[in-house]
Amino acid sequence: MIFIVYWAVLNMLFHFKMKKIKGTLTTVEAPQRVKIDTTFRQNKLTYSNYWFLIHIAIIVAIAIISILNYKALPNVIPMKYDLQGNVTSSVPKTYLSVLAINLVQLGIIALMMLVNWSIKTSKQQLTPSNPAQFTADHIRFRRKWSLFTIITGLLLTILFAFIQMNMFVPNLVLLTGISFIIPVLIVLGAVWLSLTGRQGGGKIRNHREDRERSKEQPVNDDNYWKLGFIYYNPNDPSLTVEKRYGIGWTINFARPLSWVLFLFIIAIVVISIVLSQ
Amino acid sequence: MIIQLDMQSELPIYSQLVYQIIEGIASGELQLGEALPSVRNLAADIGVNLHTVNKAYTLLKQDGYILIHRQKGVVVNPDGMPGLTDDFLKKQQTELRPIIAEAICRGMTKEELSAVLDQMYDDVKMGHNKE
Repeated sequence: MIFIVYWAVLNMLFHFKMKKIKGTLTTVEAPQRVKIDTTFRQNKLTYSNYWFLIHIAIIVAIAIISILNYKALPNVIPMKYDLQGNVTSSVPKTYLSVLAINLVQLGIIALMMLVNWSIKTSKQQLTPSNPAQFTADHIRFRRKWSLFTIITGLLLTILFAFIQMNMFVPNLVLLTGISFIIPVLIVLGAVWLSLTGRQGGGKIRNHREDRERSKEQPVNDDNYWKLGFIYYNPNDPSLTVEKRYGIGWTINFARPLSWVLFLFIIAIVVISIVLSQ
Repeated sequence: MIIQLDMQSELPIYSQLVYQIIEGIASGELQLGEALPSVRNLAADIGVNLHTVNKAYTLLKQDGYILIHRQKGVVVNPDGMPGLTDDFLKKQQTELRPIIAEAICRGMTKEELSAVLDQMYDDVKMGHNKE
């Protein structure tokens, strides 16, 4: 929470600072061109959402195993352990408390399918210079993050499956190992992807490309970026656009459907937290 | 094909779209029967209203440059381009007349104007972008 406030304040501080600096700069009368590749949408931009069927199959299988072995469970189920392996919190046995974890998982998978879908439908944003070359890089960028989403989903499914199986066959060493390794793998994967490629595709450092990029002016859409990071453009039918900085996508807050997406994401997070307590 | 739109031009976006697509067909960058993005996709990618793209596509369809299938989507007319109709020739003359008049006022000779036309004809056909 403190981090979010800190981030927001820092962000706004530099946003206004930047705005001031930009106002003092001389503007060049260069045309601002939007470039669109007409064949872009014919390419395979992401991996299919059908891959998530594997995840769902695992979740359903684990849920069925849990129901079949319901009687074997103790009346009180341990939920959390401290580092010594002592139970720090537990819940009475009900079907809901046993299957809560599956519901959370399905919610997470739904979220990931949504992310994968938005990577696919997100606005085409090509650099003004050398758009043809950039299209190829950009497609690779989308596919890479789509694959990352699917693999992350699978790793999380495996993690949850182990947590749930631990109720029946307690093996604290294995569980501790897995719940350490999987989050580390996911974070390392994200760090690696972020360090090896830039937002929108292409290499982090490419001097030739940088020189080409600086020749033409990108479209000035400052007015649509409220406080520098909230995209609000009523004229743009896109639901998702690339973030202005960092890596990833954000939503167009001017579209009502974006708000539905936004609330859905928050709902899944909140429900997950409530169910896990 | 890469479509380029100047967002600050006085020429409306839909006209720019129409011209770009016709030029794409003229240069061969767009093949007969080639698929074009759907109205929704193109509008989202450019970041303009759906009506803008719809207007451009409707105009192109009326002139016979593209077909809009309900299932297959938007394609460059696979049966070939519309011919030299009387309507087109009339339209062309009304559009060219003021251009010629202006050239004469500014002292351009017939040969100079023809040279410009010649050059541009080749440029469009070769697919050189007007930059």
